[in-house]
Amino acid sequence: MSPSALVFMVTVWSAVVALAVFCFVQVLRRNGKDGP
Amino acid sequence: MAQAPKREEWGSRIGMILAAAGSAIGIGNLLRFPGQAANNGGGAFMIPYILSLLLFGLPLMWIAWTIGRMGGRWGHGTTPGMFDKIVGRPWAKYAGVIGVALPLIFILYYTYIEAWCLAYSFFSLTGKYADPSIDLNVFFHEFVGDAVTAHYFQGHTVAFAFLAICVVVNVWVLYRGVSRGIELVSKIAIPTLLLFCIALGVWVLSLGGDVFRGLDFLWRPDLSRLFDQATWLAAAGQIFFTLSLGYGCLECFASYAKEDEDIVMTGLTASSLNEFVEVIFGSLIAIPAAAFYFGPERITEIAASGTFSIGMVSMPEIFRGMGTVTILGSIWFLLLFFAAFTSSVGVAQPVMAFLQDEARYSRGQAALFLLGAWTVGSIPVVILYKYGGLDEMDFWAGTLGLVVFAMIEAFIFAWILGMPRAWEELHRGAHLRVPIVFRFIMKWITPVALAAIFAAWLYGAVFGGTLSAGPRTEIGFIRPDGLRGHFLSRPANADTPEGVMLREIQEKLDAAAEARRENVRILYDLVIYPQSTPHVERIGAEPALIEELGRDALRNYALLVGPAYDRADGENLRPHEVRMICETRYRRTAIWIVRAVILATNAVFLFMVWSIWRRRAQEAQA
Repeated sequence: MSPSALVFMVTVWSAVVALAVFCFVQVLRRNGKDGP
Repeated sequence: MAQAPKREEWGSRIGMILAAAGSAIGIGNLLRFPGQAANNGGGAFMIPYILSLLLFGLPLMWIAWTIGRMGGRWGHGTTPGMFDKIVGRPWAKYAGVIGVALPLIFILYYTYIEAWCLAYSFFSLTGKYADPSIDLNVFFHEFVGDAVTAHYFQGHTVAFAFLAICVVVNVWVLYRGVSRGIELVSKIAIPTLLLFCIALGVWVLSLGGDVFRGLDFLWRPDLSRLFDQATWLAAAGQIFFTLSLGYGCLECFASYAKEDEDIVMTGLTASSLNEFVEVIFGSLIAIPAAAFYFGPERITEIAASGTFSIGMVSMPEIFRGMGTVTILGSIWFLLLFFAAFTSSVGVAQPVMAFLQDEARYSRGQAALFLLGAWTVGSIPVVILYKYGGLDEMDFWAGTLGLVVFAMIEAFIFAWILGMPRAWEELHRGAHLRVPIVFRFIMKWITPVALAAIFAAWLYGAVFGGTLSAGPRTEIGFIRPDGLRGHFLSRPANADTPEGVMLREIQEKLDAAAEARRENVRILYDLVIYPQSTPHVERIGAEPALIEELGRDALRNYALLVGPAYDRADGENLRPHEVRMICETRYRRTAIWIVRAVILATNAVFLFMVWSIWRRRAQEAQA
C-alpha cells in the first residue's frame, strides 16, 4: 500500500471508530438512567 | 374504523438506536460505497464525503429526529400530520404526503433487491451456482428477469417466490409493532450483521497479497478529482442514500421516542454505527477480495461494473473460485439480506404509522392494507425490470424525491418553526450540545446545498438522458449442443470507424423498435473460430427489418458486438456453433406504467389526507 493511501485509510478509520465508541459509551453510560 | 389507539413507544434506547441504524445500514454500505469511492478519487473522495456528512448528513438527521419527536407529542407518526401542526397551513399536510408515498414506492423495488440477497443465500447454501461452468453474469440476469436466455431460470417464478417470502416477513414484523417487531428484529439483525462483517473482514485480510493492492486502489487519494463537480455530487448522493435521509422514516421512528429522549445523541449514534459499517467494512470486503482473486489489473473494471455486479456476480465468483460457496457465500448474502431487511422494514413503518395514526386503522387492518399494496405494487417491478422499471422508480423515489422532501423539511425546520424554537426542541433532554456552528449550517448551508444537488440532478436527468425512455438492447448466447461457455462481449471502441458504424446500426435498431412500439429481436447463428472472427451462418429476423436495415448492416452488427469465445469445457480449440440473440427493447410503455404507479401512489395518499382532514374538520364543527 502506498503511504498516502495508508494515511488516508488509517485516519478515516480511526475517526469513524472513535466516533462510534464515543457515542456508544455515552449511550450505555446513560442507558436506564434517563432512557425510555 | 377503530378509535385512535395509544401510540407505541420504543422498549429501550439501545433498541431505538439499533432500529435507526438498521434502517440506514443497507446494501449500499457494502456495495455502493466502495464503487463510489473507487470511481471518484479513492481516498480523496472522503473529503467531500465527510464534508457532506457535516453539512447536510448530520443536520438533516437531527432535523428529522426533532420534527419526528414533535409529531409524536401530537400523536402523529408521519409528516402530513407533523407538517400540518408545525406549519399550520393547508399546503403543509399535502407536502408531508411525500414522506408517506416515498417510503411505499421505495419498498416496492427495494424488497425485490432484498429478495435477490435471500435467494442467493439459499443458492449458496444449496450450492446452486457452485458448478464452475455456470456463467454467473448470465445466472444473475436470468434470475432477475433481465436476460434473453433461459439457461438457469425459466421466467420469474423463483424470483417471485423469494419476493413473496420477503414481503410476508416484512409485513409480519411490522404487524408485531414497533417494540416487538422492528426493535426486536434490529436487536438480533444488527449484531449478527456486525458479526458477519467482522468474519468476512478477517477472512479478506487473511488472504494477504493483492488484498492490500485493493485497499491501495480504494484509498490512494487522487486529489485532482476534487476539482470535478461529479465527485462532490457522488459524495453528497452517497451520504443521502446511506443515512436513509428524506424518506420520512426517521421522523416516524422519532415519533415513538419519549418526550425528553436525547435525540442529539440518538441521531449521532445511529449515524456513527452506519458510518462504521460503511467506511470500514464497505472498503474492506468487496474490492480487496476482488483484487486478490481477479488481480489488481481487473479491479478498475470491477469497481466500475456497478453495485449489483460487484455483489451478485464478482463476489460469488470469488467464493466459488476459492471453494467457499456454502460458508462464505451464505454469510455474504445473509449479511446483504439482513442489511436490506432492516432497511425495508424501517422504511415501511411510516406507511403503517400513517394508516394507524391518521386513517385510524387497527394494526391488523394497516398490515393487511400494506400487504395488499406491497404485493400488487411489486408485480410491475419484477415484470418490468428488464425495461429499466426498477431504475426508474429508484430515480424518482430513491434519488430526486429524497432531495425534494429533505428541502421541504429543512425549510420548515429552519424558516417556519424558526431556529430559536427548533434549536430548543432539538436540545430538549440532550446531554450533548450540538456545536453552535450547526445553527448556521442548518439555516443556510443545508437548504442551499440541497437546492444545488437538486438542480444538478435535475439538470443531469433532463440533459443527461436519465429521463429518456429510449430502447435498450440486451444480448444473450445459446449453444445448441447444450454446453455452456463464457462469452465476452467486445463492443467496438466508440472513437473508431467500427464504433461509429456500430452506433449507426444501433440507432437504426432503436428507431425500428420505436416505430413498431414493440421489442425487436434478431437471431444469429454464428460459428465461433478460436482466435478468429466469427462466421455469420444465418440471420433470423422479421423480413421487413432485414430490408430496412440491410443484411450487411445486420451482419456487421453481429460481428461488432459479437462474442469472443472465452472457454468451453476444454474444447475451445474446435470451431462450434452459437446462437446469439439480440433484443432491442421498446421501453416507453413500461416506463410510463412505472411513472403511473408512482403518480397513483402519491394520488392515493393525497386523497386520503384530503378526506381525513375534511372528516376531522366536519367532526370538529359538529
